[in-house]
Amino acid sequence: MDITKEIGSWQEARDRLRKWRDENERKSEDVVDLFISYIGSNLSKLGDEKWVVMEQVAIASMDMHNLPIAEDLIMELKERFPKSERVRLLQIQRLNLLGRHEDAMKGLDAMIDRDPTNSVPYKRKIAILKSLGRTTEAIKELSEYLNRFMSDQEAWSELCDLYLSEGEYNRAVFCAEELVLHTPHNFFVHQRLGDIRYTMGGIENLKLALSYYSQALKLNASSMRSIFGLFLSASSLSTNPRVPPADKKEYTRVVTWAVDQITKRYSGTNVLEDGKAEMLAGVFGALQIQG
Amino acid sequence: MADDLVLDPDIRVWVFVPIIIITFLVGIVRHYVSILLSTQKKVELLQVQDSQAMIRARVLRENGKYLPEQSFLMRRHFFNDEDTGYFKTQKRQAPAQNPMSDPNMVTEMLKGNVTNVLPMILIGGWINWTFSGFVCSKVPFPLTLRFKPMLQRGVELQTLDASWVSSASWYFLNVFGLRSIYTLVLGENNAADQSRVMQDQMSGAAMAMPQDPKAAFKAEWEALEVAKHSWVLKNADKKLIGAFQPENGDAHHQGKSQHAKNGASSAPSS
Repeated sequence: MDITKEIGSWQEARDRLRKWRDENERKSEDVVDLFISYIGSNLSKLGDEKWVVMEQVAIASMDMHNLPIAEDLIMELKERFPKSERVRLLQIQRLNLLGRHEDAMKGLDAMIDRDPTNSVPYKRKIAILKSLGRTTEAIKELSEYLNRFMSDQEAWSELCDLYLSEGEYNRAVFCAEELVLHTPHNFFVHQRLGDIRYTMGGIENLKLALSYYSQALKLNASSMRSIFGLFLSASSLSTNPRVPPADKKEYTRVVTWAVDQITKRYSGTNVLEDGKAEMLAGVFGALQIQG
Repeated sequence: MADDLVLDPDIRVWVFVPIIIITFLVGIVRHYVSILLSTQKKVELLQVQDSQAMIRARVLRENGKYLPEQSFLMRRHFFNDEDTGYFKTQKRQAPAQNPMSDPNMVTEMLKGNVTNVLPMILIGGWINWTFSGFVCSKVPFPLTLRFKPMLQRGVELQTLDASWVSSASWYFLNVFGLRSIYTLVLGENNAADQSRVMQDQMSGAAMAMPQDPKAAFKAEWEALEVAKHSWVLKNADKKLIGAFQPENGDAHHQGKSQHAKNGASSAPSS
């Protein structure tokens, strides 16, 4: 939808931008559109808010590859706040946009030297390394960062992804567990840990995956992925020859429960029209073989 | 009898309004002076690292039950091991006992005094001296005699009704009452607010001691040392499908859960 039609005046545009800032929504395209049609000519009316808006628009315009706007805004911000680290970050982001990653890295290193407690430049550096595909270096930097900033959940989550992309499941598990420690009431972290454990395979890991999927379901009963995960890990446990028969019975019960749940959820929707129920059964069969 | 009292309009022009203006302007000046003098407090990287390590150790203690035992022990080892543990190897210096020996601290205190206490004394004294002895306003409701010392500072008249306000008291009312005007003019969290400074002084928070990381590490080490691990996700699948019967478990299960129960009751800090 065209945002400029929805909004009629620069006051409304200002309020909208403020709302997005508060809610941390990026909405780059809309921000730039609003800036071009309403805010740009009324910047001086914003008072002190002007500078924050300029920062927001600068970031958005860089997202949209609209360099002229971004450069104007950054220049003006630089004149107003010559020593600000936030403006410095914008300049570095511009360097990234132009593809001058080495210069950007140097700038970030200088920022870290000036204030080693600011976590943003570390993260930017790691992001650059990741985007350049230098995953191993990114992992090294990120581990060093986490040695200092141990309770940064975002960083743990990112490190988990990086390890997963390298296939280092054991280490990814460690990071995912760290996330569980920090936010044990978020179903997603349990589900993710379950995913990794299931991927690793082996009886012990499958049992753990089963537990974590169960916990995820307990926290969020509507998570379809967790039900499927529960089904898959239970069914591979129940067919594993090394699992004692008594336990196998338990796992078969979990499998039946999960299949029940899945069919029940789909029966309410029109995904399962006549004849498609058999298809679902077929899918279960196929998944089981894979598991 | 109080109705007989008629105030000279000149008092309004030369006492009542000037006091408001002076107090307000002084507040504004104070705000900008304190901005000029304030220095960004530098946080040490080591401090950040320590506090984050403490947080991580605490969540391990609280939520370690969601991890398998091995993962829990691995993390505890990282913090608590005798030779390589974080809390054992990271030696932190105890903070200086006497804050006076830290020159930074002294400058901070001096700055605080210069911007807060000094103007208060100077302006207050000056106002008291210049505008003393005026009755300059009246509150529109009757008050009991107890309010006389509060509202009629500088005018000690036995017969004067308690709802009359003297100039010195009017000054104090302004000092504490202009807060919302400052918020309007200077924005939130401005430095002009005298009453907040007063509150700070009351609570003695003017000088917060830096916490001692050594003692904090020791406490956390102890807490983590006695923390017992009990894996709460055991039987999570059976509980989920509603097939869990605790008394039905075999001997192995019972032994385990008994153990976990003991652990939970004997661990004082979880």
